[in-house]
Amino acid sequence: MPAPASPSDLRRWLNRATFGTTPALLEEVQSMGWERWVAAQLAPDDKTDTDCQKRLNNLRLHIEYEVQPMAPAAAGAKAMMATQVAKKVNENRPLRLLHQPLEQTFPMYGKDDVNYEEKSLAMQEVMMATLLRAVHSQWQVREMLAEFWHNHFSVNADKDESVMLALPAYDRDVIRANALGSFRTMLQGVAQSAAMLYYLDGVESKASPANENFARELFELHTFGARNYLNHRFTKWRDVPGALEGKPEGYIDQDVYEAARAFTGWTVENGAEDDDGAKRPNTGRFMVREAWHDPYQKRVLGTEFDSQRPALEDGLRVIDLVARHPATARFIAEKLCRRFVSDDPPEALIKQAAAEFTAAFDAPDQIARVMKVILLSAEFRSAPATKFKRPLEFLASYLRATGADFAPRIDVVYQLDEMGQRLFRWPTPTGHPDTSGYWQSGTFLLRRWNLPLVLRDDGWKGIASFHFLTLTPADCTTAGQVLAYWSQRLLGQEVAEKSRAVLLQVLTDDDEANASSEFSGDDKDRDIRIASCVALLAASPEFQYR
Amino acid sequence: MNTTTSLLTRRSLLRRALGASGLTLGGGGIQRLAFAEDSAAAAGRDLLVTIFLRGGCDGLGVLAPVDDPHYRAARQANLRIVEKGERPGLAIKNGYAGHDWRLHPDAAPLQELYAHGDLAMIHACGLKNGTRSHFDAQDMMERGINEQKNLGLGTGWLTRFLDSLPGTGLLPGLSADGAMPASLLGCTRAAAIANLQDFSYYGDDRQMKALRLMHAQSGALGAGGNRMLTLLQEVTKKLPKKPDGSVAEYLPAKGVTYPEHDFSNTLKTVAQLAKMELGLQVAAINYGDWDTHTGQDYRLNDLVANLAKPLHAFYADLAAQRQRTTIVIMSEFGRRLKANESGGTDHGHGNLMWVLGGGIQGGRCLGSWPGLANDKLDEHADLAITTDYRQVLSEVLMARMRGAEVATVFPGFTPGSPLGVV
Repeated sequence: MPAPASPSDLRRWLNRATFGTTPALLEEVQSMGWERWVAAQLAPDDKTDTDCQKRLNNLRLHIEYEVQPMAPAAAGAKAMMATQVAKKVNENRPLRLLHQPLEQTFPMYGKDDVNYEEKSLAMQEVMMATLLRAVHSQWQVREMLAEFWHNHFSVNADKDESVMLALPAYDRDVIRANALGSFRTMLQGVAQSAAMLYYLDGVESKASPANENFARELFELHTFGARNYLNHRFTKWRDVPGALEGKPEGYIDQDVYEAARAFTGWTVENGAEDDDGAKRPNTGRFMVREAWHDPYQKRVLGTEFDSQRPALEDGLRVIDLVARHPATARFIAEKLCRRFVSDDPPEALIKQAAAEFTAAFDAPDQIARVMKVILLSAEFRSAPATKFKRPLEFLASYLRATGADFAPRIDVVYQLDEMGQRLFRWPTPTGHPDTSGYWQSGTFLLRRWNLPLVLRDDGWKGIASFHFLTLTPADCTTAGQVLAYWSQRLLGQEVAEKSRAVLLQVLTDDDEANASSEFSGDDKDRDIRIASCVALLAASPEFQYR
Repeated sequence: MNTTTSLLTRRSLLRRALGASGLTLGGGGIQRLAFAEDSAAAAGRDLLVTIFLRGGCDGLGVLAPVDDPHYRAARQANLRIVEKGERPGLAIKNGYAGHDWRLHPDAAPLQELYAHGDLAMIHACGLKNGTRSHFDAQDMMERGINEQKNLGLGTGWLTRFLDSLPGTGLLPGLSADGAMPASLLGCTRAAAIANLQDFSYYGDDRQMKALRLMHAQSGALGAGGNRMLTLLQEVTKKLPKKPDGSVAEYLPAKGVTYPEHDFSNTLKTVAQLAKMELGLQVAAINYGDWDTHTGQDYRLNDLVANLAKPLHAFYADLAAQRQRTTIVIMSEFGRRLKANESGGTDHGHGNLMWVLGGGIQGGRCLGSWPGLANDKLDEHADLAITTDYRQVLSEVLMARMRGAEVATVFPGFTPGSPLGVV
């Protein structure tokens, strides 16, 4: 029986397993114990996340645009379209598209008479809900995993309005629904999603030649990983070790091309006619066009596919082959360990997590089981805080540590953009990098230092409400005590000696201050000075790591 | 007395003119001395600018032998360069023997630079390795290698190049982006600056001092943080200000107008920093998503137009230092000769590389053209490579490096017979 974890251990584990420690969460885990807390997190029940749900219900998104009526000549030429009436929209709307099924949201695709601002709500709502949940959801491990899978199966909603409109269903029904579930189920969901079919061009891939985009990323990014791309060593399938036994150890270009052929015909209902000439509705729902399918025999990863098989069958067989390959277990395990442990995760843990991924492959809670292995492992527990926080983690951990009330608006997204994190709009299918090098660039650091100050800007009223003075215990009467309290909240420790003097000066606005100086002034003034000091604690190197 | 109060309550993203406030740096003072730069020396430095076209630029859609029957058979008219009609390709002299070579119709500014002798083009160029993975190809090119097994290399080629150059300037290397590219991996003498309009810390002097002290420690973040703080201070001092203290808009050289486009803003940032006498010697820029699997006809037109015009303006903007400026444009691979069925092209192999500069032997197509007959294609599908990308880069570097060896920048690469780029 391991010794009970110290508060500083728990804090370190929480900082990596969640979007950031809070005093309340630390207390909760201290009383439950780490193992029980992890078990609860891995079986989340949305119905109990009441505080977060209330905040989501109260959130309002601003939408503003003007519609000019069409000039008479143009209106005559497009008589078939709905006539546009002059309209001015300036509203604050609750989240609605977030809960809407794909069939109700996607029909806006291609509709010229629907203003772009209306369409972009599909993306904005997912962004706001993601931000709010990162800070306020009780189910923090699930939120971390939702972010992980969104980056693993990354789509760029900027690419086309089709991807944007398909985003709520993608986020809700594909990623979040399976984040702690079955990888195989999630992979099929991704391959059949309007979001991915439009993003990687599968939607118009027909024989012949097929469009390779999705098939390549399926192998390189979603399953095997680039390390198992063996093209530099083998150009013939039979030369790949294990191929003749139907178990090649990696993939080559030919596998990508054959898989691309297998997926031809995997498309969506988007108003066009189907093979029988019937006009399909514009729903974004997955459908198959046999007329587009390359029906001839294929060979993927040393496995022969007979000719004249249905498009659905061919594609599903590819998904099965890649999902079950040991390289995939390894790749996913390594990525999860990199997310939750360190940039260079320990080999032993990767092996253990990969073994669980394989053993639990057919379990409905496969990923939860892999996460349990990781979060309870000795490697996770002993790893120091060396993961550099990505911008969302930085923002969320700051808001969580300071006990702020968060009601995000689009301004927050622009700030994260400037720090390098482009929510749902990373420009390539690789998703955001998960090693520190990328995030530590000059301008990104500068924006990070500025963010706590920006959050207090007049123009940002209502986005983040802080309670610095009210949260400071009444018995903190000296500057030293106030500094110690907030250092503990954000960093779990006192600040380094050399920075302490100047931070005390910031707290008191007095160059002669020391730790025993009285912390005085009117309420508003003291609140502002604590805010300035805490903004600096957030900029400290210590706060950047989890 | 209550400066802190007033700063936060009246805050509306007020930019602080740090230079004007007479900052005391305490422990940072020593670092300031180390970055002191002799402006005459700084002014004389060569500048190498790399522009990486991300996603695999379709070289055959930018410069092509329009009369080659293999080319015409492989793509419908809207996915290739044509010699007549509404949008004919732009003719050039000194193309590879035996064909009518044309540039993309929206590349007129490049045609002009080529005709003027400033721009050289090298086709059938690139990463010989043969990977069709963006990920691998970019990583290898940016590390200056050709084999996956060397992907563990912890430095980019620009890092090794920069490390071989003398100069203690404040900003020897620049990534004109929020992030650092892999070509500058491991570089301690480069910074990522996305734009100069909003390049300031919003806190006051005391808060700045606190930041300094907190980063006065060992470790990557301490060093990186301190470098950024020093840079912030020095660059801010040199930026032109409006009467209200905010940063004034950049004024290019007389007669130069950049077109309205994001890429122009990136180039302006580089130009401004290059002229600021900070000892800038290397700038790495990214442009585009050139991965035109679909919609290539309109996407490529946009990409080429929005590369050519801003680049032309940038080159004119730096006319005063043209002789010591070299701009290299590359992409991770070209695209397939034969179009796909979705209105685009898939990943290919050989590609176009451009070199622009006052010291360049421009107005010529360098290297050799392998042809587009099926048996001359790589894997019977893609334009072959006859010139290793490192050959081009080596020739550029050899003119710029003093005493250091190309072998340190491109380990494992033996230069072939010179193309005559420089």
